[in-house]
Amino acid sequence: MTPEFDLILDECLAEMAAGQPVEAVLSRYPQQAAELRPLLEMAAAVHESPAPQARVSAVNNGRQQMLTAVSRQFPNPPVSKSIFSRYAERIQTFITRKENLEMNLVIRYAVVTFLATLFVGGGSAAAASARAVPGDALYPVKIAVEETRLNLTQAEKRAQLEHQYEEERREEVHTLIEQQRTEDVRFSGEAAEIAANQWVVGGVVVTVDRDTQIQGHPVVGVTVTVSATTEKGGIVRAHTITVAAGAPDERQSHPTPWPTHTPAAARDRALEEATEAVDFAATQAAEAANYAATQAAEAAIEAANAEATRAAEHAATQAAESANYAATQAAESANYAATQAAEAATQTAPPAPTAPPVMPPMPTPLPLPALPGFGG
Amino acid sequence: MLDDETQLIREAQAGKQQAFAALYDQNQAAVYTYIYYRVNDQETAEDLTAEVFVRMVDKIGRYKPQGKPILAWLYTIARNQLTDHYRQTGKATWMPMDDSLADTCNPAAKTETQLTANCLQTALSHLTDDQQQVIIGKFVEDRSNANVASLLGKTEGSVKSLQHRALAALRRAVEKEGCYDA
Repeated sequence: MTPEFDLILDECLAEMAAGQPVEAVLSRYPQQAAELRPLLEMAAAVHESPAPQARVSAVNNGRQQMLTAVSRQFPNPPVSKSIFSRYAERIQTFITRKENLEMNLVIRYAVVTFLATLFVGGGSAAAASARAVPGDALYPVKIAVEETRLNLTQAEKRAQLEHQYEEERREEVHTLIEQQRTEDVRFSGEAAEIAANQWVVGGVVVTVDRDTQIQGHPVVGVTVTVSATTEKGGIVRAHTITVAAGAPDERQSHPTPWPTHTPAAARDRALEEATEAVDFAATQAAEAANYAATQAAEAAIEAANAEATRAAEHAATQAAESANYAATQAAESANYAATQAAEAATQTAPPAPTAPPVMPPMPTPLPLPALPGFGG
Repeated sequence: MLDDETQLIREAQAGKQQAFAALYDQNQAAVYTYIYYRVNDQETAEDLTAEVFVRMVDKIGRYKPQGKPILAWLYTIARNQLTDHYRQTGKATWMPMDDSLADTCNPAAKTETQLTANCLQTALSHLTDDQQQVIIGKFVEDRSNANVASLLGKTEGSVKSLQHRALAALRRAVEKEGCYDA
């Protein structure tokens, strides 16, 4: 075993790794061929032997165990009860109120967008609730925004959006597992593994027990919809698993409380214009509300820093009231703008196939900023 | 690449879940392979691999990369995990091959080309830990000499010598086991 031979062997192995057969490699080193051959053949045999691979469910279980340990090792800092958290409850109440479920599509989108924008103080509406997971106060806002966007999206782009939202549902499950939370979830995905007590659906390990209802005839590779509860310890306990009937998207298999018709082109344009106008008004209103709330909150923080507990409480109350008032004013402004925009959209476009909702009167036209280059 | 990994480690040490998930995705297969060839059982290897990453979380605060891939550290955790496993199950750890067998090497003896997974597992158990890592790293995981060297904390020249000895030892081991099917 000389260093020279080590180098020759290494060169031979490198040539084999590049795709050269053993015989071709040996032909270049006839004097060392007898000694090289068994070693090269051994290396080739090892390379051709099947590489060990853990099962997908074990890989996922391992990840969940690790993330559980992360949650234990690095507990999330306690979430302060900010004055803005009150608005989450208002948003949830607003969205789930029966009469609001029947609200015109445009108004609904406008108000949901506005409230989501207001909540983060000037951020985009999509970002407002994007991180919410089931059980969060903002989660209904997230779902409402998604559903409304789906309804406003043309048919050819809708499948892509639906797919994106399906992935989001599965990510939410992983987040809940990481946070060790017990929440009801519903998600879809391909059944990658089906065992007696455990399935893997879209990368989520699902625990199946005797209480789990299996609807349809699941086989590996088919898309299924899972209704389940996340539990501590990384368990996702399935209540029902439904095989999708030819449609990969579970959204289409259950009714939604909102109309799902495809608008005509004119109506699409009107809706988009109305939505943009409402977004603009909502952003303006949100900025005003946020400014007032920030000012008040800063006063409360200063008071707290001065260790004047009573003064801080008083300031916090004042802050909440100021923000509440500003938000109410802003919400009314946005509602008004939404009403106008919706009315304009309804008048511009042909009627929807579904029954039109009751619309408030339109007092004045929606004030839109003048566009340069037009009307000159 | 090490820079990216160093950044991930910093984020993990700050408690960022995504960083831990990325480290897991990048290293789980290698840790599993390391353990699998030492326990010869899929389920046990899966369990022990999961425990390695839980231990990684527990110890990440005290970990300092020092220019090595984190996989080198994970191998150390895995080795300790295996020692605990052998102690708990009452099994002996893997036995490095007797040096005397080195003299029995007959390079021209066999020309078989097929090696079963069980045979490889059994034969690897006769090799030293470094020899096993070179065989697995170079010929199962297709790693470069430089990468294997950094994982073992050796020079590339040492790895070239080591792979020579490892291949020769493995050849003798499969002949001794008689499991090298034609």
